[in-house]
Amino acid sequence: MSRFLRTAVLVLAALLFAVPLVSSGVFGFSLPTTGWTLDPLLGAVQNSQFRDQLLASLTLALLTTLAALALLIPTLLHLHLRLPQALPVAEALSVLPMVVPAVALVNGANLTFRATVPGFLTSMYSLVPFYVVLTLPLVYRSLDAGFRAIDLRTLVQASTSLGAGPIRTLLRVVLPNLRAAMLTASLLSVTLVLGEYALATLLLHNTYPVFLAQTGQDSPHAAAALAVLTLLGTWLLLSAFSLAGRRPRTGATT
Amino acid sequence: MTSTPVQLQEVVKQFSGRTVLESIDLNVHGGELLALLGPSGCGKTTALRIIAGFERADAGRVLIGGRDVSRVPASRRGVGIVFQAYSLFPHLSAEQNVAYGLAVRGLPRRERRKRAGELLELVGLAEHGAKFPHQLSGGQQQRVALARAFAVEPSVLLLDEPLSALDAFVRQQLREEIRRVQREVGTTTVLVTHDQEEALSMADRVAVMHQGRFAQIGTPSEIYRTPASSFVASFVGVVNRVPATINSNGRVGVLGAELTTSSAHRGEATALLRPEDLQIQPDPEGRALVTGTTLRGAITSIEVTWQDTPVRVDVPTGTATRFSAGDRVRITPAVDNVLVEKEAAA
Repeated sequence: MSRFLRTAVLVLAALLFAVPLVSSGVFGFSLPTTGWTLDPLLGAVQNSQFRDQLLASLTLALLTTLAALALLIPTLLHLHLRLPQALPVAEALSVLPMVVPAVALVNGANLTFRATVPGFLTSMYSLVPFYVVLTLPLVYRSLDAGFRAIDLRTLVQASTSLGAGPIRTLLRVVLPNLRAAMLTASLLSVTLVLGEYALATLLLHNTYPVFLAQTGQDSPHAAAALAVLTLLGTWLLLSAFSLAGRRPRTGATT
Repeated sequence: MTSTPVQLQEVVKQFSGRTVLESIDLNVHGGELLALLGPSGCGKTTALRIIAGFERADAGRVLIGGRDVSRVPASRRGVGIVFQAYSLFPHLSAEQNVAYGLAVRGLPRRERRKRAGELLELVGLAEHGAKFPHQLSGGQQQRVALARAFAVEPSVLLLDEPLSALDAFVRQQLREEIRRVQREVGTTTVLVTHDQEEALSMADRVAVMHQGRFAQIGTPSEIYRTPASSFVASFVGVVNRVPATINSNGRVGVLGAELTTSSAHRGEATALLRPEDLQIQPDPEGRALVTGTTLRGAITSIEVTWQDTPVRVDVPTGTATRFSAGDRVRITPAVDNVLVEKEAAA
């Protein structure tokens, strides 16, 4: 491929990505009558529901991420150490949430839980298990890649031969070497939950994406401004996670 | 100084119905370095992992210092291990790696650092304590792994092919280094290797394994000079397989000479002769023909054919210039007792 063609493809891709974003920014931070302005944005953030629903989504993102890591790290550890032959099956199972539409999941949950545990779906936290299922394919893959990148068996056996029990080995040897994979998994989980709309609205919970959708109906300028800021926030989060995942380059003492 | 004996008693191990260890018995004396030598799949690594506690024997017992540890988890066996793959913890510096086992034992930070420093000095890496594994060479990493294993003062040290991933020069250096440190510390050590040179040069005794059993256990000299079977003779060193005939008096005729053998077999057989146990002389009337020479450093191999049988004779390189392809020569065995196989050479 010639240099010109490579540059052209790159520029085209950049435009494809940047034009809608810039357009949203222009639309969100300007009004036909007054020009550049923060009024629609300020109006939205001064709404008391903004803070509550953003906090709800952040809490859900945190809980979902912790639950997904707590569920998948021991599972993958066990599979890699004791049942490596079951890994292909587990991998296939992990993509199932991608083929089940959110509507089908909600209908199934409604039929099951409203009949058996009526109070369950009324709590906002009832979204956490659904979000764990939703994020499963991405979190599974990120962690699995992390496990495959290290010589897990040798590291665990080395730690064991030095007298460490399973908990110490997990905390002091396995998790530190999975840091990058855990950060990637967390980032994917957090961004997915912060943008999840279908499940929340179908189960009648007020989260940040629901707030964005509702705001869009009354004030499309405010919704566009918030969407751009949300995207920038996600980028910042991505950069922070990426920096945190870097391996130290210099020596440390005991 | 630790000199804890290790014993395997009638240890059996199967994987998916396939027997990997067939009721083996082994006594590793306190303070010695014993090498488990054998080809891939012979069961040597499984035996090591059973001693370490990473595998459980289907039958039999493992005794360390006279105590039955068959049911004791790996973390409580007091066994240090150096793996084939670089097993240092990538997120810890060399010093932190060495100190890891000491932290597990609850030693205060200051003592940990002091002891780690001493051990790094023992393996010649005192200046590299702050480096991470990815900043060390393969040989340095294995040295740190050795220091880490010694840090917890194990009663037994297990070396699972620790040099196989290194290049020849570093391997040679580290062989001597491991032997020196092991002698200095005096820890009972079991080395697993498929490299006969490594086993013969490092070990006090060598246990040759074949198909889940011990084919022979002895000093390196015994294993090399008086192999118990044709497998041991072939696996440890190079042997020529030459047609032979054993007469009714038990004398074996080979290469035109008559030698003794301890074999009870009579009739056609195959004699196993090491290349350095053959003498070669230029002789225009000789029955052997030189087909080529190979320089191997201090020695040179002279390849000859004797009645259509290829035979290799090793001579000091200084004397090898007397022979070249096409020369007629006379070859004579220079051993008293020759090992024979029942089957005649093809």
